Amino acid sequence: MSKLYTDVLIIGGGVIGSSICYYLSKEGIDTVLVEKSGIASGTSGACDGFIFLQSKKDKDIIKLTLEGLKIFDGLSDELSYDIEFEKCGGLVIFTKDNDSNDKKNLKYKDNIPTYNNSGRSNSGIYNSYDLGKSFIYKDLDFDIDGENDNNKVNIEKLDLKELKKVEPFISEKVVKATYCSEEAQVNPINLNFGFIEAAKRNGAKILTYEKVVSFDLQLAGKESAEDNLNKKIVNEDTPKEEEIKAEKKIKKVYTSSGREIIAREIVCACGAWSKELGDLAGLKIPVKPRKGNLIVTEALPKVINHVILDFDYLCCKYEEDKYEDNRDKEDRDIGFTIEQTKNGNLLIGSTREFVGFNDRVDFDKLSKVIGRAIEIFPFLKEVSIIRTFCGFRPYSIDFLPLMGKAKSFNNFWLATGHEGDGIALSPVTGLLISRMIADKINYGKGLNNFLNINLEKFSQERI
Amino acid sequence: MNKDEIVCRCEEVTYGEIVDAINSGCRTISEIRRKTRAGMGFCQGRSCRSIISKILAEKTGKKISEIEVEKIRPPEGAVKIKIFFGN
Repeated sequence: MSKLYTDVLIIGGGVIGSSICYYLSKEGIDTVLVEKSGIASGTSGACDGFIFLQSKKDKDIIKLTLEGLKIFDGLSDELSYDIEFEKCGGLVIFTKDNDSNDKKNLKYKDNIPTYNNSGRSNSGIYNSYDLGKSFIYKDLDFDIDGENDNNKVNIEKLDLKELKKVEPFISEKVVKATYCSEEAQVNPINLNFGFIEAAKRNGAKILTYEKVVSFDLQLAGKESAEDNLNKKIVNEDTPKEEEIKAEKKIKKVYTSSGREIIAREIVCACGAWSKELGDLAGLKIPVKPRKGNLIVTEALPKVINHVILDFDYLCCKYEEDKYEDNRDKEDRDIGFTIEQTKNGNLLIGSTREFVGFNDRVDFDKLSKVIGRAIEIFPFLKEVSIIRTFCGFRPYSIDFLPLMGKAKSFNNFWLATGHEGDGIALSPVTGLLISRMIADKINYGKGLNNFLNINLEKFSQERI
Repeated sequence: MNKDEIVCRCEEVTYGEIVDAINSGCRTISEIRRKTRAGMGFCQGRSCRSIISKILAEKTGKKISEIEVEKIRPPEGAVKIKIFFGN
């Protein structure tokens, strides 16, 4: 059995794991990444490249996305890899269908957020999801921190005429849109490979087609290998109190190619597959797969200028019914998004379903997505599809990622559960986790108070 | 093969780029596709897939039959949306 010693072992070769690997190796920390299949073989290779602000509800997530956008700006140069980042601006579109003024039965009519004179909602932030519930607002800023100008994001309201100027092929069914110029797109696969190649140049070791099969656990501070907790965890449903309090430590990691990896710190960046890995360590990781079906069209000249979300998609994301009478319950997992990639292909999505890891493309659902797509962009009827695919987002029940050290462990870190925000948050997650780890193992400078965000809210124990 | 020879005609990916991808660690056709875009174009790899299998087998010392078959992503050929989904 071959042995490998390293400072940090990252499990998962998607954008999140690759980003952490890059930032750790950049600090000069000895890093190994292990991936059960190929690079970008999971969610990061089967998703869109939206970097969206208007779809986020949590203030700190918006803050992190903004911080991420700053990093994205120079990332192609930094990684020496074209990640096809473009600040194209984003639109959330509203049709008569989902305009609250037109439907008496809309659930949101009793729940209209109130805005004060400065254009801020009670909760202090705006997003189009809240805004979509009522159209009583004027042009506005949302200022996530109060006074800091750097944290100000402008969202403009466009009527159809204004919208037609910037998105000429949009149909008259759309009544208005909200526009945010900060929003952007990126090629997620290139981003993933960019991080990996740069990490390799920094000396990181990348092991692909190698799966973690088991852990050797012990109580932290105890030297004896006989303190193997594996059996105890399996046999006892309710561990004794002192065992809960005691910190565990992952001593060794075994992989499918018969390798034994001994690392000081271990990071789970397995996304939708995190639960499986957590089970090996006896740690409950509350992440489950949320499937999306997408369509890719032939390459076209520039026809779509922004990253575009239908308001319905936001309802779908946050699992909210639009109507009190549940009339849309059946279609709640279907939304519409569209972007044009640098190569000219249109990427049309998407659904958000809980069907486990069923990887068959669901054509019934896709035909509903396409129905909506043609309503909004009628020219699509004449465009050819070249492929369909599906991917699995790592869904966390409160829509917040899990980032930080697992409290019951001495050396087990989590960076997972980003759902649809993983691409947008990947650079900032990598930076954040690498700083926390560097701080712990006394390399480099730590950054305890990252962007003034209370990181407790991303801990695994909250759920 | 010459390193400048085109393997994937739709995305204009050369033999040299495929070999570079294999040298950087790609071990399946789908990983090569993600890295180089070979097979991501209009024909979805229908012309280049077998050539890439051959290069991959050669460079990794495997038999062609040992190269993993790519997951099928419908449709089989490019088809207009109005035909595929009806009106």
